[in-house]
Amino acid sequence: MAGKPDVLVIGAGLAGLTAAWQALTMGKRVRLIAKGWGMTHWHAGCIDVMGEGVDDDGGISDSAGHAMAGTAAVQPDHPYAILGRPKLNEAIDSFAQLCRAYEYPLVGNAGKNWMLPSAVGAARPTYLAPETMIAGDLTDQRPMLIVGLSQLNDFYPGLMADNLNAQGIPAAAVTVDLASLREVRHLNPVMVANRFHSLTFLDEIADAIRPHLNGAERVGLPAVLGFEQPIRVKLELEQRLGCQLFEIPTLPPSVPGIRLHRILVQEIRRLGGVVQEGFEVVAAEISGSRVLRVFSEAGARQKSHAADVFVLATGGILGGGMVAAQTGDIKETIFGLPLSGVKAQQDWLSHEYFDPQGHAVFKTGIRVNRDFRPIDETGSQFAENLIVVGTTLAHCDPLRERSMEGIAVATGFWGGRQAASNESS
Amino acid sequence: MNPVELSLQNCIKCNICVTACPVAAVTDLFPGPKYEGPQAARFRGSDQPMPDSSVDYCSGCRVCNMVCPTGVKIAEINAKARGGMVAAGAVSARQRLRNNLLARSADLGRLAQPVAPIANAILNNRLVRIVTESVLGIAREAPLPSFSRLRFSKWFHGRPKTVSAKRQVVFFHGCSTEYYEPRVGQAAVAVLEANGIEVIVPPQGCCGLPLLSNGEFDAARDYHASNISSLLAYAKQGIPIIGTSTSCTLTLKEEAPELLDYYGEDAQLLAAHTYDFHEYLLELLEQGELLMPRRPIPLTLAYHAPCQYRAHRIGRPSLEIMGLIPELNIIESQAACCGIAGTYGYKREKYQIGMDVGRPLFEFVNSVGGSVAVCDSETCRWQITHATGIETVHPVELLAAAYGYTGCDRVEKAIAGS
Amino acid sequence: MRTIQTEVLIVGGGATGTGVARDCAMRGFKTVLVESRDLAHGTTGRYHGLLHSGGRYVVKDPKAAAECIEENRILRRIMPHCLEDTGGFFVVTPYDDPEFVPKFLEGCRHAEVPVETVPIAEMLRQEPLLNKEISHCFRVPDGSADSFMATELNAESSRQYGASILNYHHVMNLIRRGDQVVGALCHDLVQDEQVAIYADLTVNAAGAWAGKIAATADILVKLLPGKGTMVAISHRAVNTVINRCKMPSDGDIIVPIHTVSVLGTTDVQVTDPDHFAIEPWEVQLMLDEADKLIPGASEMRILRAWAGVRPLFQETVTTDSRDVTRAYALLDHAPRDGVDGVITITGGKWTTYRMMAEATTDKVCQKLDSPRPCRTHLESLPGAERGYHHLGARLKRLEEERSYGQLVCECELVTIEDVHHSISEGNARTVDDIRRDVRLGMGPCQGGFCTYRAVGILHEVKKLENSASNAALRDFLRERWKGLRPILWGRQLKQARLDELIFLNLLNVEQLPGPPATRLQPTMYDEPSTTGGSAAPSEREEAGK
Repeated sequence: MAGKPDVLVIGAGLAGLTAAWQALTMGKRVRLIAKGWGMTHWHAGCIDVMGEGVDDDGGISDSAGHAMAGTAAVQPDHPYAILGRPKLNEAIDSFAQLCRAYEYPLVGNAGKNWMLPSAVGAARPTYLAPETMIAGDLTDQRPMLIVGLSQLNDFYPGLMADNLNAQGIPAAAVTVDLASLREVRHLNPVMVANRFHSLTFLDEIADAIRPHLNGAERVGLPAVLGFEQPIRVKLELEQRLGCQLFEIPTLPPSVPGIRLHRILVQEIRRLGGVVQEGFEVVAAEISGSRVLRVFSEAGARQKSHAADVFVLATGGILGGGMVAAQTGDIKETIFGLPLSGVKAQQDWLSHEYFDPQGHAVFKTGIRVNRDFRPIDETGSQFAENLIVVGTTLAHCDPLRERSMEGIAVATGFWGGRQAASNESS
Repeated sequence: MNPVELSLQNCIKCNICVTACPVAAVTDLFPGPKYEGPQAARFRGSDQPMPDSSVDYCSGCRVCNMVCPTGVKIAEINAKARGGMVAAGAVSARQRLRNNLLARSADLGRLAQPVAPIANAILNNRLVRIVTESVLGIAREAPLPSFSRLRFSKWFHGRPKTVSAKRQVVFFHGCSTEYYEPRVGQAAVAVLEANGIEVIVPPQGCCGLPLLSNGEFDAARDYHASNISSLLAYAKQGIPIIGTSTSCTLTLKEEAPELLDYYGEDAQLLAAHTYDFHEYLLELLEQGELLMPRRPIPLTLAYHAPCQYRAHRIGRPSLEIMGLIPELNIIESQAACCGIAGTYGYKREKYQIGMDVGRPLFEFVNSVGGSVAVCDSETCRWQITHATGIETVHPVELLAAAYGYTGCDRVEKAIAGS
Repeated sequence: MRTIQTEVLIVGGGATGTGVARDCAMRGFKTVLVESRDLAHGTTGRYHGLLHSGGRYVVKDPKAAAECIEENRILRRIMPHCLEDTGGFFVVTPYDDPEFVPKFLEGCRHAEVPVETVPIAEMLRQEPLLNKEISHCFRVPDGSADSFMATELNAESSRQYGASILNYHHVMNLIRRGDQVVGALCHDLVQDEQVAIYADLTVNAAGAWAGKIAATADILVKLLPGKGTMVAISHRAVNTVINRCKMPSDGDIIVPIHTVSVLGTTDVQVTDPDHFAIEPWEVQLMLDEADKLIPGASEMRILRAWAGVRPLFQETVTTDSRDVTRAYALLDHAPRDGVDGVITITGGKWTTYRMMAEATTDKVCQKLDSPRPCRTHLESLPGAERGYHHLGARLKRLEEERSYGQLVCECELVTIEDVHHSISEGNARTVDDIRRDVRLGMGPCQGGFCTYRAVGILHEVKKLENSASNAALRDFLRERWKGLRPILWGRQLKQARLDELIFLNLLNVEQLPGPPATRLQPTMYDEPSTTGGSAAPSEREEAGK
């Protein structure tokens, strides 16, 4: 694609990639630039919509849909409240369809959250999970065997199994020592995942696990079942072991997250879009009510990027979309957009790490109107051709609420469509 | 503190670089960019014994820099560590001799070009290659380029002087155009002159990058200083300095100042006036001043944007310019690196790593097929041809051909065969 | 209830306590040491890590300066592997009075602290980040010290000489029978049981807590705990100890230690050594003062802040029964308070801990009527043959062994073997114990990646109950948080959010079964005063270290 794009997306997290994909489906010329990769490489690779929330009748619910409705009632500026439930559902469904088309189904649990085991054996609620994970659901009491690899330091099956047993799930643990890994000097989840593309390796690991099954009806492995065809890897292993298999997300880098990244990038390229990393956008040129161009840092001089519509998807404090300075100032890094929920520095962080309320500084974000255009406290719009999506939005703590991927996908989806049409509602 | 060292503080240990590193993916001799860069850097003190060794397996491809979400200049941290190894005497004399032979392309070219046929015959002799491998550690299979009989600058200055034009540019030809592939420079001159631009080719030396990536910082410093002194006058007049070798221009723009810790006004002025060839053409295009190519090139070709090109952080100007050529269909590779990484893939202990790193690219080039492949960087072109048997051209050769210039044999052959 | 009988009981497992334990054990006394938490958990583990040359005190307190240089030489001999021979600079910045220079040089000469003038160009070559406006620079033999390691090795040496070192033994009270202290009643926090330890002589070496310990036997030892707050820069901004050449005051020193640079320190009187906060103004002061030495230092990534309490002894009794130098206090409570069987040693600096231990043990000999000579200045600590520690040592080992795959803490290059060693040899019970042994979790990510791994290993090796492992995990996250919270902005805030993603989203550790915290959990700082400036900094002389 040469020349000026219709839509320039800034940020390669789940929100930015989803926005680029959607703008492309609407026939726009789209370029996505990013400083680097982000959230997809860190998160669990599931789509969390909401951990728990207020039910319609005021009770606590683990049903994502209900939780969302409750959230909207309690917090009217929450991104979900801006979207409304039908739009949230449509975005999540479309995303699941895209993954299905790439033979990587994301599966729901009849509108309720799955309770999947984390790598320490805690229950992790999530709305959509890849098919490679769902056999681990903890609402089901079937006995499981947790398998680690002796060269992989990022997974401790013993601790996980003990915690599962303490929660009433019969679980055993084994760490297998594979001959093919014995001479390897260092190993990370990505390196292991690459090995799963070989059938010999599948045979080897199946042979190593089999003697330890002892009646386990499902086997949990760290989430490393390859990148290309994880579903096939799962089926092949299940065939060899005669029981179900499930993946458990590990510390970053996240193999299941990278799979989602690859699906989106592939789809964007298939639709003629461009994805390029290494562009740290640092400034913008604005004329009247329009953003004309943004500038990225580059060798010797800044590079300018013009477009008709800009989508800001640079994330919050973790993604780098906002910086909180020692002086107590919090800034959106490119446009200096007005921020909402800014607290005095002494109130940024709770004294208690595990405070269920989370830490206020992470709720700072950008307030948008129904068209995802940033607005200030008076409701006045910053620019007519700037759209903001993803976890940079205000009035939510996506990490604590367990709404990270839900917010990213849903706002990215509709923000991308908005960018493509860019009409005021 | 210079920007390279400052950037190590940005690392949040997130492992994204680890997932992208093409070297760590194929060999466990390299513990990965996070370990070598921001982690090991905290243990390197100036007056302390240099404890490094694995950092030498960093190819310097900068894929890590590109994907890092926090802006750590990992590849540069590694390059500096290698410089530290050399300075501390941690690299053997034999390796340094080998590295210097590979890295001093200008000296080598000056010596060998006058006797190019003989030099090429010697370098292509299997026995000689076996000996140089065992004595020097230059991989016998690695794609050494052939010396050209024609020296670019000699050809250029031997031409009748072009009339004064509305614009002037300095052409930085680099060692490869000067000694191995003058055809690239000839195509560049054809393109510039077709646009009514006067080309100036002042005396110039190696940009110093091969030395920088071998940790030979002192020698590189001399080259950089000498280029500053010969090019500064043009920069002062506001004349752009443009190059077809993506690594040379990157070195003048950024690598030399960063690695040599030299941010003098002269170096900054030179950097500010240095452009990649197509980056410059893209500016002309945006100003509506670029001549549109008219001759159709009805080919489908594989294109690889070299690591050094991506490291400019200017997008893919050559891809955009090639997009102007009628009927030309370019398919861009998404592979990380060709594996040669300058001089890396020439070294006996790294040759196979380089070939393994490049495998996805070679598969891509083979799958696209075509009579030629396209790549902006010389060593990458040689590597692609070595691995796939497909001849590889610089994008400017296609543009020149599309302007009607018929001096690019490979392109003409490809068009004729289509 | 268990009972233990010994000759000497030492209360307190910091530098002084373990130093006294080693000295007593080497002189052949049957010795038991109790520490309420882990060794070096208190002030010893929370100081800036300076091995004094004495330069800081040459004007203010020449006697202390002379003691420092003498001990400096001894420590370099007996524990070089706990030290890094960084050398130190005293520099005159534009903010300092050059009139101090002649006094400083005269003081050095008088206290016999070796000093040489360093040309500014040479200073900048060695430390390029230092303020280019610095007008004078002097080199002294300062160094940096790994106080965790030194404490551990003193304990190890004590054990080799037959002493018994009991950590996580909290002293509930000294056992007093009439006018005699006969030992201490302890709570073993690990086994959750009481232990009575009877001793011929009890040495109260509890530092800032010595007053609290003495009070349990109705003895008044008045200590004014002086809180010192320190801040660490995420990397080595300097490789030499940098001191301001002026009377010691707040924020006038930068100590390069291991992979970080420590900015120190404040001195604020607090009422209770167990209750104090890191105030925002203290952090700000450290950064402002650091900027005077290294322009731009405050913009660098800050890893963490911490605070320790110095014991400043204030005599309340007028007798001639005390041996109080200006640097430390050694009290015999028999003549002073009419209570026999107990002595108190408090105050002092880390650098002179051995000398204090020697004086204390001399007193022990006197009290037990068994004169025996001290040898702690002659005999090296275990492993001293390794020579000085240097920054690259861990990287060098990893590179030689090519054991990249063995890393648990990637920031500080801690391997699986190190963690195993800490658990089995060092008897680490918590992740925080492992941290003190091997620096796990002390780098830029502050445990983000290694905490889970360390708990996994701890669980495996110690065969812990799942609830104990979960508590170890949560306790450590809280421990890291207390030192992060005062400095979370910019890059470190970003890091904290990634760590939060790991623990509260990916691992969901707050949902794990088991108690939310344990008896072994580290002590926490109080919340800073909301006014922010209730204890405004004032010009005052530095006490203690």
